[in-house]
Amino acid sequence: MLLNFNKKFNDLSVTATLGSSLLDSKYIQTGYDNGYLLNFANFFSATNLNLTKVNLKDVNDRTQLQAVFFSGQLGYKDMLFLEATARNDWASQLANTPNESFFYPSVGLNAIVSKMVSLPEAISFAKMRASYSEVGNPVPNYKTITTYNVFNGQASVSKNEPFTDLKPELTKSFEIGTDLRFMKDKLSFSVTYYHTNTYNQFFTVNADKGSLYDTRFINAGNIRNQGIESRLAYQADFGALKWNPSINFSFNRNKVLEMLNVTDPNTGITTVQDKFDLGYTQVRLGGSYGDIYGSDFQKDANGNVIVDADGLPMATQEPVKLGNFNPDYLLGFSNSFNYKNFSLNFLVDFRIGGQVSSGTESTMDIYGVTQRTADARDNGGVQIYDKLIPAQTYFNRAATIGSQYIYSATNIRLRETSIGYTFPAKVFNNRIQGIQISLIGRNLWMIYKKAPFDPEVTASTGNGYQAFDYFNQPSLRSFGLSLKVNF
Amino acid sequence: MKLKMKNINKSILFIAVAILVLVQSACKKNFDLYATNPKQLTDSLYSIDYKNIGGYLPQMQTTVFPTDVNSYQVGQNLNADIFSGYMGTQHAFNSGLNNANYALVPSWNHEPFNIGYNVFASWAAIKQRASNYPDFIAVATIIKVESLHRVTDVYGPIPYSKVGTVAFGTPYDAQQSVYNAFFVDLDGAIKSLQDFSATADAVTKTRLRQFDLVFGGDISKWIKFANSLKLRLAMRLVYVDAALAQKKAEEAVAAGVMTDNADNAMVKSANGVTVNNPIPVIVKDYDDIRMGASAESILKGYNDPRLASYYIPSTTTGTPYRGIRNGNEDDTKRPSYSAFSQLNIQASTPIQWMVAAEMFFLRAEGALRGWNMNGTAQSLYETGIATSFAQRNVGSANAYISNSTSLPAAYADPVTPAQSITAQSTITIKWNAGDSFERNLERIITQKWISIFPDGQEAWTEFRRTGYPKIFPVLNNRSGGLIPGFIRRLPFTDQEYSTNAAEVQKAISLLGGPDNGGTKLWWDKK
Repeated sequence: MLLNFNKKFNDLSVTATLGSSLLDSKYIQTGYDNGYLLNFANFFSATNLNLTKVNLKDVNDRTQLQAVFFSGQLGYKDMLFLEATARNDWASQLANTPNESFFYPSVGLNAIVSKMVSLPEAISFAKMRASYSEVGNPVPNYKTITTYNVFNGQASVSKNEPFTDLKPELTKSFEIGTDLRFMKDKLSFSVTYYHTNTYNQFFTVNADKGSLYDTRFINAGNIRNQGIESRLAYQADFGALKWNPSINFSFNRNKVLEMLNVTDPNTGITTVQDKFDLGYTQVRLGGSYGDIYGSDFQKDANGNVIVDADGLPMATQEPVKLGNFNPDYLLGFSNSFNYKNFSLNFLVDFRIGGQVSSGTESTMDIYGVTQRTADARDNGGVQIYDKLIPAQTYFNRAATIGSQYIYSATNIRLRETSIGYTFPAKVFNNRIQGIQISLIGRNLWMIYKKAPFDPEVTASTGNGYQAFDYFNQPSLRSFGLSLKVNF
Repeated sequence: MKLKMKNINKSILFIAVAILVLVQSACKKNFDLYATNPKQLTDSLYSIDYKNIGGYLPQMQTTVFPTDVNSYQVGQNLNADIFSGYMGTQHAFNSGLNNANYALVPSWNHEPFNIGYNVFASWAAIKQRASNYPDFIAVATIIKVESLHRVTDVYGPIPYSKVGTVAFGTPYDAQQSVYNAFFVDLDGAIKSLQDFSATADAVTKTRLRQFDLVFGGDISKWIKFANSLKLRLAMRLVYVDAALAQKKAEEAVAAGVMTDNADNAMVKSANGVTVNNPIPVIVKDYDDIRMGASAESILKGYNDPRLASYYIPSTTTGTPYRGIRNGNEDDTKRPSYSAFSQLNIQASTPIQWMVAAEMFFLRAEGALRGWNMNGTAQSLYETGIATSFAQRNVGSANAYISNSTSLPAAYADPVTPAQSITAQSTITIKWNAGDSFERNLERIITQKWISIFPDGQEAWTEFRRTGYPKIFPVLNNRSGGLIPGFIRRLPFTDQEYSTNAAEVQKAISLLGGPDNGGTKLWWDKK
């Protein structure tokens, strides 16, 4: 439901919206899985299932988010705008807690400087903007009211402590930026700096057994993201030939400022958790999301690899940081040319920095099917200090050490190219406005890469396994034909 | 005109806000409903027919000795059962480095702890809700002691008095405090059941039946079991606090312990709950467990008629019963060992918590020590054997009781000859009042060991307390020097080290020694 208001009073303009919304989500699943067919091949019916082996699924997940929101803009002479929003949410996930209702505001100021002061003629437009906002996010469902799982008609003890002071996740962001246009809008530049902190994240932590719970739920943490997004574009006009190049440049820096640190009010005992193990990445206090952890060679104070009694290098006991899968910088260079009815576009992407890891290489080294292992075998083994270690023995040890399979993720690629031709309206006696045919190719040319696989293909979309190659399918090159008809 | 417009605007705004507020407050009352998982049981549905109280009893009873095969395998079978000498494993788990040769496996050895606290959680659920059901609380408390005494006898200090009261970091109690709390808990439960029996009407007295897989709701049998457990726990303390041991043991015997196989505590299918004994799956499906070499030596040496009731003849030629001495490190030998004797236990075999024969042997030991056990050491010893024979249905025990010549036999391993070993004991069956105290104690404990098969946990615990029976040591001790001789305990769990590190450090000081398998427990003082 929305209620809008627009009004102009001399130099002032007012726009306001008051609204409410209701988002009701339901997920219902009833059925079997792990179904073994009982008797007849390829007959897929619940009547042909081995009922002693199936898992009965009966899921009904429902949440409701209600909101009342206000947004308003106050303009002064179409050059200075103050914007504010306010929103109150009620989330069913937070029922049975004092935090069922939560409020979050935002405020922003935009100034069109080019209308306020007279600028050199080269600057055709200038705008400054700044804003602060808060956003609340509800948490997973069914954490605040205890219910009992039933299996085979028997109820089990609830091993999760109900979370009766569960809070919504809160993100606070500040951003400041400018939009500039020069030379009669031919050259444009925009840049934004942002800084966000996310608090009250939902954590599930293992409990000690004496608490009689397996897990408990905690709101904790402070994760900071900050970075810059910018764009530089130009419109060149050489008569029949038009060229529009643009460059996008951005980077993000992430830091985990706070993790779990709670003090039990009853005992005064403080529980601190400064890392979460996600498999091949770990989230650690003071580190960044996407930090890759694994074993490395054990080294002495002088950096020399330590070997065991058999002369083999030894792996570190504790995992060490080997890299981070996020890029340091992203840069995109896009070009579009138009000549009469022809058009040509291409986009080159630069992804600079970051690391990836390959389980494929490590596994193949263990089986001795890489060039590396073949060369080592032909050389009679691998020389470590004064010992020649047989290739198989060496790789059976070294291939289990994660640091050997970390590669730079830096890559440059021609991500997209298209060539098009537009048949103008007059060809069709103006019955249709035009037809555009284009040929599009994606991922045509990997101009530069260091990793032995496409570092942007991931084994899993799960948080912990991004940029991890384990017999991944190769990346795809695709071609397409597009036909656009305008009426 | 202008004024009118403004009024209209204001009215619209007012109505809109009013509608928003009304809609909002009307809908929100369903939030508790949406936040309640409709596919799980709520407290109100669970409480119908007091299932939210009684329903926990079968859970507890099938968890003490878990009917879940994997839980039982690492919770008891691959530690206490093989440490007891009853069983041996042919499977060279972890490339031959595992519990069987004292290369302890942390991912197995947390399970006895987890089992105990699962039982504890069910007890807490009953305790919280059953203020009008003293019988349920008392029975649950007895089961809690039955379960947790097995936990403390594995690890030493455990969380007990502060369990469930602390959000983070539950403290451990010294084993002495835990044992004292067991006596308080058992005495309280016995008193509570006696009061309940005296005051409740006939119908109320039967309400336990529909949930009870052990005694079918028979309150008098629960009282007898609680006293029997008290006698077992009392005797445990004899080398650390003889006066307390005697006092508690005499109290228990005077109050009445199990005297008949009808009193035996066995978990069996009832009330629509099927109880499957986990051992046959481990023996047959997993192909992980066979008869132990010590059992072969003792039972074969004594020509014991219970041998056929405990084990199945081996499929190898030559000797019909063959056991495995623990510590096979070569998995290629597994098929040869698999031909050795399996355990004669079926899925339908009830799970044994305690038998009457054990009580006679405990009383025999007490009488040997000069305590008032309502009988002489010899008569109690002989009744213990006869009770076990009756339980196993193997005929008269008279000839066996008077056998003064048979001795434990040497063990020969045809698969790994290095595992062959001479007999460890010269103890005979027939009572000999002229023998030394130690020889008669060995006689009692050896016969108790035979009688309480297949409860490897109690057998291993009593072996640690007394040193009997003289079972075979492991050939290759892979503990890295941490376990001299026989294993005394399991280390605190990996999970507790990660979730309760500060309290585990304090528990190590309560333990009084390093946290490994070689440190003796508080009562282990002989």
